[in-house]
Amino acid sequence: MNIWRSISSLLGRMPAAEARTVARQRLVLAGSLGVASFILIAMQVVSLAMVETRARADHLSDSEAPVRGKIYDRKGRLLATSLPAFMLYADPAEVMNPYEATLQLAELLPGMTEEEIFAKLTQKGRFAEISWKVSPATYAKTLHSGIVGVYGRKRITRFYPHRQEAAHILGAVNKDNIGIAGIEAGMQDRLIRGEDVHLSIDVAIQSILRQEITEQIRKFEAIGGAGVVMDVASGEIVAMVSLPDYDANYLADADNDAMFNRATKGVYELGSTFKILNTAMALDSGIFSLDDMIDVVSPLRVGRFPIRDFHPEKTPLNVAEVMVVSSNKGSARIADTLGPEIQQRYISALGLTTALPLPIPEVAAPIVPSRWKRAEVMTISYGHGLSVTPVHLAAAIATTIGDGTKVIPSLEKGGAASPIREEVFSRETARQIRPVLRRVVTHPRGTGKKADAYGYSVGGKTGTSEKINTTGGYSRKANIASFVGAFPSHAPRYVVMVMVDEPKGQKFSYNYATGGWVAAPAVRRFINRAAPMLDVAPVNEKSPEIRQIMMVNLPQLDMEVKNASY
Amino acid sequence: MPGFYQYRSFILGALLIVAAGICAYMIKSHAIEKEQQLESILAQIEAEKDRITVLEADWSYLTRPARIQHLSREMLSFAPVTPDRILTLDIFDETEEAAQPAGLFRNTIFGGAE
Repeated sequence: MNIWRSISSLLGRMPAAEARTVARQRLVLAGSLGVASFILIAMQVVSLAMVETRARADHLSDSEAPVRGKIYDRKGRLLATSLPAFMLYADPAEVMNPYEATLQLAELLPGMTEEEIFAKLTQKGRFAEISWKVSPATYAKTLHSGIVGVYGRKRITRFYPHRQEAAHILGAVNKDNIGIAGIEAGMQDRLIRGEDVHLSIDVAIQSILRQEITEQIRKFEAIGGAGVVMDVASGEIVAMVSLPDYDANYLADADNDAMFNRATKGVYELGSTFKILNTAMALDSGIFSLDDMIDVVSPLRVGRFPIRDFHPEKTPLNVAEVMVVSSNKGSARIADTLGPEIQQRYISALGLTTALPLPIPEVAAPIVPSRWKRAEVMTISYGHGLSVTPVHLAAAIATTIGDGTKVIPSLEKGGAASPIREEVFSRETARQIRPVLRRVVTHPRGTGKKADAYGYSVGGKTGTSEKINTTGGYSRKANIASFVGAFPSHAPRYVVMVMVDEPKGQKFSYNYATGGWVAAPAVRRFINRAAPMLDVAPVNEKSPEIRQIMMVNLPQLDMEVKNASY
Repeated sequence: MPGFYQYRSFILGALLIVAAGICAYMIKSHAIEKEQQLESILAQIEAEKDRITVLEADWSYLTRPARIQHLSREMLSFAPVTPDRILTLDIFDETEEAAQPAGLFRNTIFGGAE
């Protein structure tokens, strides 16, 4: 009420005493308003002074899009990640002393020559990119050195801590962080959503395989090589190497040969290693048993070409012995009996006619003969006339010596999730073939003796094939030496495939550049080092249980050995 | 001061308005302050995440198997484990049932259930 009266009093005349009161009221009102506004302004000033200047944070997830997912190996080791980096550039118009700036920058950027830097700093225009990718530490040093006219812009870059290790599998991204090769391209959708990817690769196993193949390439002056280690039960690729390789962080510096993935994109006639499959087909079809005798003595021709053996035999051998001594004639005769239909059925069931189902773009389809008649059947039996990748062969061998169900190669941890278990061979076939593979490695006449890793019961098969030259014929000089094996052979856990491209015979190898001389030793050294890491316990082969399941009859070969020892 | 008593409700009202204004202002400024705090904490989290990413990459780079292998060979004279140095628990099965240490072991570890 009082307020209303005072307001109405402002409008009309009033007695002096009342007017004084009104004046006082006004004074109080104005005063309190003044105080209030003063307090408000003061507080605003104080709060403004106290608020920290908001740091303009520049982060990986600065943009709307999520950070590209990381790639890990099966044990959780980081294989690929996105890191902050800086693009270093100069405004040549602002650079006051290009000579001094060049010297300062050259010290900070060891990858560049002074000439290069000087050229950038003095070029025309207002923008000169000095380095596309420098670390935050280097950038900080550049700022500290106080060079006028040099700036940096934050960018996100892909980093591969393990450098050459698994470079072919991981692939690469372009400047816009879009995958252009390997897993980076094949799993682009998942990575771009920020999803992390866990691969089946174990980078420690990968490292060992790479070292051992590198060593053989060096010893035999070869041009390259490849290797695959596959889990027999799940088809997971635990290691996959292609040599020569390159540092994944510097893809631009790699040449085409180094970038080529021999393990998944290179197709080769892998030679006698195919005899494992041929023998399995013979047994599984029910047409042959291991004790059936095969004529490996009388000459055999395919059209105009004779099929020859590396080591000609004087007596007939049984099916198991044909594989132990790696007889081409014997294998061809077995395949000839089976015929094209059975062979084609098994070859395609093993996945040897289709491209690998791997999540990388670098996969090649096998080269299948256009005409698949008697001649092709016979040559395919010992690995000629059908070109596949090393991973194809590893998966086919895993299928054969595992439990006979089709092994689907996978690069993802856990393996390919397929609800259908496709049986290619019976369990019995796998059981029968394992001891034969062991004999290839242990028998004095076997071709894979150099693969025998002490304690781990390696079984496997060597292969030596002539490369197809540019004119379409076979090259006498250029070989592919390979070995595919499994360990422990009585209950295989892992398949190891090693292939060396164009090895040259050496003095210490008596000029041989065969699978037995070139690839088998790499497998032995690999298994000796890697088996403990793969949780494979040493095998006591003298134990009655193992001796019983690893029995196989090699009457002719054993007699030869016995006679030779007299 | 009769004026004070006369107009106390007016003065009180004015004070209340001023007080309410100050309160509203303080709450608002407090909220702004909290918002800024939140933003800076979020920025800190992002910065820490960045740092973790860099450290993770560093760790992975420094624990490259080939490097660890080189260091363990050169600095610690380690070598790959040979099969004759690996034993499994099966060896206890081959010892005599009555043998005291093995028997004891079996009773404690396997609860004598075997």
